[in-house]
Amino acid sequence: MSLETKHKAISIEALKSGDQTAFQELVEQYKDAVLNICFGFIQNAEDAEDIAQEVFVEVYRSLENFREDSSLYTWIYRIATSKSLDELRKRKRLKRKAFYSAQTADHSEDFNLENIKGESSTPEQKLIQKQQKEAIFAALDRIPEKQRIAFTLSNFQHLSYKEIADVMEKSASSVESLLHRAKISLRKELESFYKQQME
Amino acid sequence: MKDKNNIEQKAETAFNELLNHKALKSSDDFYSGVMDRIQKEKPEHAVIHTFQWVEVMKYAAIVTIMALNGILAFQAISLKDQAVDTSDEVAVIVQDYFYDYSTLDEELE
Repeated sequence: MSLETKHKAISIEALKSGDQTAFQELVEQYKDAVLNICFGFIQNAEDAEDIAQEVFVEVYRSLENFREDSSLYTWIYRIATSKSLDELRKRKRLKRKAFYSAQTADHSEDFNLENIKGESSTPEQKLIQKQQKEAIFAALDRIPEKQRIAFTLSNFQHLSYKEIADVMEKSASSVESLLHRAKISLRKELESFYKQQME
Repeated sequence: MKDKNNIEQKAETAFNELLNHKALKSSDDFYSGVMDRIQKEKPEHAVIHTFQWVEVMKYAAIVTIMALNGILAFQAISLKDQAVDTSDEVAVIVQDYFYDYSTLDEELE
């Protein structure tokens, strides 16, 4: 099912005229999708929610300039992607190491590590969990930006090739190829992370 | 060899964790959080605009004063020149007035 049919149509006219009810409806419909896209990039639930809220502030501010060249969801997802990438660039200016430790500090619920959490946390398991988060973050951080965008939209929001292509303004076949390369790159980066840990 | 297998296994587990990401749910007060941010931004914008206008007006006033200063200085110089001209004219008139015509014949000769 495409996103267009998944969501109830919201009147763009009403949004542009400043109708608060229409805006609330828009936020309610897209908040989880935007949150998951932001999380895909940021890898931290609290920060992702902050950025997701900023995405809707930006949407509110830019609604009158929305030219309807693309569909509403494409436009919103594009804002979510660029806001998240801006945030990542901002963070890269900070000390990388400090950021990694902040990422891995107190957000054990951020990843779906139920098999580890279920047996609950011995110090060794906590260490494995922390290392795994570091590995995933480092791998995502090292792959090329376009691969990362395609992978995030596919993996964290389950968009189709066509939908990702609309957001990225690319063809569906190039999205397919980006996704394929992203998976190879991620595997390679994860292996190289663990190799470095062993040395 | 054992290390290599271990690395590959860890990488594969991490990769699967990444693929099996469970969708997050936003908090209940998400919308009110968005509206708070929008409301907070409004007065800030107004303050920034006021501040920018004050700055613009300040610089406009400085430029106007400098331009007026320049015009006044230019006028002062012109007046001064005119004054010199006038005094030269007066000097000629005075000189003519007191010209000693008695020596005119001598000069002509």
